[in-house]
Amino acid sequence: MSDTRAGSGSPDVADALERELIGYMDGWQKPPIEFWARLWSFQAEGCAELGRFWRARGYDKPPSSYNELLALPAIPTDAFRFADLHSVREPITAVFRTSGTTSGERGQHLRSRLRPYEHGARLAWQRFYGRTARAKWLSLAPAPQRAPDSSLGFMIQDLAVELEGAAVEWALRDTGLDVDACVAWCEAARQVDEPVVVFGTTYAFQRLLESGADGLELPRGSVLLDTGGMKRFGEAMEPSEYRVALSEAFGLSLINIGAEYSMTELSSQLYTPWFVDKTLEADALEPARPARYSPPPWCVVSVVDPDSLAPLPDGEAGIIRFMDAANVDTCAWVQTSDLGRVISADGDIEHLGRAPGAVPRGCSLVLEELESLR
Amino acid sequence: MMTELRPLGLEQILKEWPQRAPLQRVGRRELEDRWISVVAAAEALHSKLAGLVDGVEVSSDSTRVHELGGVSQLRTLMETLEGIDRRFGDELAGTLAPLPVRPCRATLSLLADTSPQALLEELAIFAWLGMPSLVRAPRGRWRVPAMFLLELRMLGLGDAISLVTWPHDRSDLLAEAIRRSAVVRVWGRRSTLELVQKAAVGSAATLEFFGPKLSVAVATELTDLALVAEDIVVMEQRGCFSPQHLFFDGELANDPGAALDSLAASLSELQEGSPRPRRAPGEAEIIRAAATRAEFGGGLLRTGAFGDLWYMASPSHLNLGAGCRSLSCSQLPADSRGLEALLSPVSGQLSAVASLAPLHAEMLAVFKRAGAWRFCRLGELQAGRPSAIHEGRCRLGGLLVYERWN
Repeated sequence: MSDTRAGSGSPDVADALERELIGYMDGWQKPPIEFWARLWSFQAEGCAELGRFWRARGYDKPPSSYNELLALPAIPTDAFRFADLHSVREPITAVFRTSGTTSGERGQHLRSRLRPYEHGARLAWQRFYGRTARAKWLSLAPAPQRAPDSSLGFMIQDLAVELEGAAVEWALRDTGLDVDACVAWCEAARQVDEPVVVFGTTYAFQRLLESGADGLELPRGSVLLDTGGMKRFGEAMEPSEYRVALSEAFGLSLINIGAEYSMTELSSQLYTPWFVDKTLEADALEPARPARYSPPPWCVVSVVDPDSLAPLPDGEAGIIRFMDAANVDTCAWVQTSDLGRVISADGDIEHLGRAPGAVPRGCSLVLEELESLR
Repeated sequence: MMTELRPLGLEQILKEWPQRAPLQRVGRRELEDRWISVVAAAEALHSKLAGLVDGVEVSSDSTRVHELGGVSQLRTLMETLEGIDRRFGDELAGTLAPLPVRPCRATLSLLADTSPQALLEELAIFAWLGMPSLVRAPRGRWRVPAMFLLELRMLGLGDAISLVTWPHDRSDLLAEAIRRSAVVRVWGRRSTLELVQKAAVGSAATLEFFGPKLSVAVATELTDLALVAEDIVVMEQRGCFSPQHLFFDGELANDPGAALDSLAASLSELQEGSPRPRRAPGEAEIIRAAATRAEFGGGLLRTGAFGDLWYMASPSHLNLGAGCRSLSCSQLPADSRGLEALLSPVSGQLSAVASLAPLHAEMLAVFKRAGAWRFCRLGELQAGRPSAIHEGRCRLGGLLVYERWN
């Protein structure tokens, strides 16, 4: 029986697009306009909702230039809450869900092809933070066994276990963050004295800091990755105070405290580049600066006008838009409600927070939801 | 209709009042009813103010309010508001200096875009009673309230009123202003109300919140939609009388797409010669979220007419972005239970309901339970009192002050 949620695009065409994309990923290359045009045609024809969305706005043929590509309207992340946005005629094998919004509805990203996701995620991690494998990881995000629909847990599991062969301590329990387990894990890491990795949402890290727990210092060379997310309740720390507090609590240089930017509706991840790019270390050492993120070349980031959604020149602040080729099986054109500006020719962006009026969302809400149930 | 796009000044309101005031048009019985309201309102005012204003006594004679301290007391109180720049439009610079003595009995009013008229009457009576008022207007949108306050000054009532703006994120200034105030009145969105509530923790001030309000319209024929368009255009969907949701009934319910197209045509006609509306911060995101729900939730979407107003037909959702330049539409539910369910997200927030066709009594009751207090014909949604009775009842100031001025 066919999956009614699945799209109607040919799996053979999807195979060809996927193979071509993997080639660009391996070469750390931007896909050419011809690739994007084929991907657009495939998704516009394979997903009825996407085709209708673009036709309603007068887009019925693929882009023939980079400017046309950037002008293509992107699907708002909210649309993932209301429609099955899948483009290939094949069974859905994974469903990643957003952590919820203040309106209570959860978006869902239906997947049938996770290879581009996994391949791209591994390459991006290795390029920005994972040149040396670390044997121990601590996750302040939910384990895939506990939350199989969490794309963050899926990614951490894949990078830590499948890519680096590491052991992961999942410190987010059914009752919330296990602070004692975090402290014990850090103590064990110090005993071994080998660099480790800690992944977590902003909210989880703030919970850890607010607990006042001692003994979180990590071995030299360790890295700490903040995956962002909004904080709804209580007083959020100023970003600059927050990074300094993390640095002091974990005994790490600000350069070793990085951040990852992605969302359930995407397959690719952006990372703060200062850990590998010495010319950008000043960004890390000035925590009051807005966070700078580098995308992989197959994920094009642009910024559009908050009112008209027209593309803005580099350097101007607006709403962040993604073209993520690793979303081969779903929708590559994703319109966020995040503010930012493009600050380099490679598409590095400064993330400036949520757009006014946008509802809070993000992986941080997972922990908040757990706490609200206690 | 279009002349009402410009703000009304106090002098104009007073000039027009005899023609607009119910007193000029009602019969003896209604006059008596109104007099009873005046008495009740004055007694409520007495209770409200007796404990608030040092040196001011409100007599038990319900229609007369005596000021004991007079202007000198007022000036003394005002002098305690050190550090406040009272020039119109100037920003409050720096942190307010701490008061040497416990609180000056001031009122603090925080305005939303559309609220200066709602504020006017109470400001006037507080000024007359000798209570200084600090009015915070949205940044960049202080001119209209300034016009109102300037006219209060010209009437000799404005010496005690200061208009300020400050950045939205300066919660320290907000908290300090609240700490100095006996009464804090806030008009705004839920987020603003929450912000003030948080800043007022530990304060002894009385908080009066006026949250978002909206109105709805019911259209049954294509010809109705020209009138709906007029109701939309007059206040740019920002007022509590603005129709944020349109119910299709009768022939329109069968073809919502044609109804939206007809509405688009009417809005386009009105657009000519009208000023382009301006979006408030965050409005685009709120509208986009509602539009995405309509477009991907099985509804219809139109954009473009009258500036870039969005309007959408959605099977089962109301537009919750009250005060945004958007309009949601849906079929009028067949029974009162369905209507009750549809209106539940905006329970208590309805202001007015407009329809040319008579509404069934059960439907009327549901609208009333959701807060509606005014029922009128299409095209007349924005023709309420110029002083914008936000809560659907006469304001105390409206009952007392205008009587005496006239």
